[in-house]
Amino acid sequence: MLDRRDVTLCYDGTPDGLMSVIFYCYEHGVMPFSVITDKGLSLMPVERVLTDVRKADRVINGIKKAAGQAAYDKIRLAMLTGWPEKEINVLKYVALLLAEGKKAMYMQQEDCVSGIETHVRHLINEGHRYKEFIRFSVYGNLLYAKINPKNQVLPLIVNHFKQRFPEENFLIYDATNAQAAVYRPYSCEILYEVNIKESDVDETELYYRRLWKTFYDAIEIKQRHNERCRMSCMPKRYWSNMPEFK
Amino acid sequence: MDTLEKLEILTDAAKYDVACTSSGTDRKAPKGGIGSCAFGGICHSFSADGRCIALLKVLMSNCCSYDCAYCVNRRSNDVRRATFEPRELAELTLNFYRRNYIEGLFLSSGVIGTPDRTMELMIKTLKILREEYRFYGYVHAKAIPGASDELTGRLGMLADRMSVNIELPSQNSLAYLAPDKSRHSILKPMEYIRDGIKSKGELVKSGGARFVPAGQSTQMIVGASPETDFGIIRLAEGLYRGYDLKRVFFSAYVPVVESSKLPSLDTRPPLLREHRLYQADWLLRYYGFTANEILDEQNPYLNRYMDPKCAWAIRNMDLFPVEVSTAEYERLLRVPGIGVKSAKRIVAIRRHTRLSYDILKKAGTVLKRAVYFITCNGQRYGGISLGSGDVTQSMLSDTALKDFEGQRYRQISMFDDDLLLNREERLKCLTGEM
Repeated sequence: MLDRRDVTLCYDGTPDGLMSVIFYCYEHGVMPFSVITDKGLSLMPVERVLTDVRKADRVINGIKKAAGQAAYDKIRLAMLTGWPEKEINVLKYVALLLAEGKKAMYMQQEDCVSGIETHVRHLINEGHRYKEFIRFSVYGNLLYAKINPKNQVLPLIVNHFKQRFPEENFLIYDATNAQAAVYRPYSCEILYEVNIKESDVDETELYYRRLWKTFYDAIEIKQRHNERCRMSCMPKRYWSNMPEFK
Repeated sequence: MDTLEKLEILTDAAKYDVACTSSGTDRKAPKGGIGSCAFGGICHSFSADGRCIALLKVLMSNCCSYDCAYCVNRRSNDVRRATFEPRELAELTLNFYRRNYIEGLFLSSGVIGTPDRTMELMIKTLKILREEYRFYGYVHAKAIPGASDELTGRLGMLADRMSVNIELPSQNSLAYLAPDKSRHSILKPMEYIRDGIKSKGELVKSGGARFVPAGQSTQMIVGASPETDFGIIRLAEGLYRGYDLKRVFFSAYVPVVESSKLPSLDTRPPLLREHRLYQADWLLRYYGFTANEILDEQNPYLNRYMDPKCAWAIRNMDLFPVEVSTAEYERLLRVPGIGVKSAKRIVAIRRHTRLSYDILKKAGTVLKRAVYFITCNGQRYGGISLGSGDVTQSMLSDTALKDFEGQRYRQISMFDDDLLLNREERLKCLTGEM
């Protein structure tokens, strides 16, 4: 059992960093008040936990041994969510997995389990929405798209576009998290701490946007106009990067 | 005429076709190709009427030589006419696709001269897309009734899904409103496609391309002719069984042309009726219901106020309550408030954990409805009584309830459908999934 203590742990925001925090907690028998990244603020005394890949690997192996690959996959997804309390809940979740094994994944009555379920579901839904609503602009031989997600969705969507456009070069810029997925045939990587300023598109691109908007406006059956249905299927926060609304 | 103007005309002419699904095929582009398909389908936008946009839905041409009374493209209607060049349309599709506007192409057409000539133009377009541009995205193609089997077969090798529209839910209505089409000319290509899908061996090319891999669908117009809901659902059931259709779509009739044979131009499309039909269709396809369980000759119309599953459950109270901790999946599915997803979650959770009402709620069960039909570990949910009035009330949305009670002392106004739609149906619509 880990003892509750009025301390805040701070880490570098990476998956290995959080696993190192979990190692630290077990090493010292501590359940902290909260876990924050370097950018976070806390009223409690803050202790910095250094990222150590070997310690992280031990935690990862421990989780897989106690609860299986599926449980670890869920944790990886949870770490991609934009949930502000994800760290402390992952910590509690891991503690539960280590104590109860695989069946902890189904213990919905525990707040950390249902919380992770909910936020991972939001992440997956948002990933799916971006497969739908992402819009590329053509710059020469590059397809470029900008997104403003609530979660870190790039790892969930790049494969989809890799399979779809094997011969294209594409770049998806996640402005919220300052990340970018860059693909050129046939390899892909995700870059961090990215800041992209867009330049103007050419005439051809503008022409196709105009064609698309023409199609979009013509396809509506006016007698069935239904604003609310459109909005619930396609929330307004996605509209800003879609040419049909420009 | 430039592409922009053609696109506007031929989209406007195609929009009354409901299907916009992109499901049923799973593949990715090989090296050198472009495009992939997701089995569940992907929507790319939603138009201002709330319908999903998955495919570039256009007609090859709206220069039609037929004169179907309900159709905006009828020969005798005075509208702008246009025809795409095959290459023009293929290029447009590819450019939309690269920008992630669409999953692919939905290609239909008015009859340009003869059905065969029309199909030849469609085939030419798809050939450019598939063979020249190496496009592996989704293609839904309409078979034009009356075209030769050979052409239907060739189109089917290029498309993922094909459809032939039933148009109207009975032969009489068809003869009355669409004199150029016959029941035979519609069912013949449907049969051909069905048999082609079944006997893959004969029609599959050596290259590995498959004949209509995502199956076929159809649609019918609701509200332009006098058929009952029961008749329509039975027809849908028959089509699913007899023709192995993937989907039957219903299209609330939108008056677009003045005709003495049709409802007048100011008729509002029967959206609530269409919505209830889709709910019934879902029961046929995913919930193991038969048409005869949903309606019968004595009650040939779906209940306006509650969905068909609730209505069925209230008529069959003797089959309830269902014990959620032990009931098999098929019985869980029949409980109002439990859907496919929550039924699956319940089955998964109860293997590991003792169920409670709290857990049921977290699994996505709508307790407000379900509590009247279930027990959990032998316990009823606290504080409910079982007068049938209470049950009925809890099945209705607040707005529907007001309307339902209000009926006793006031006439139904023409806006009632809107009231009902607001709460419940406005949030739901045809999505591209399934």
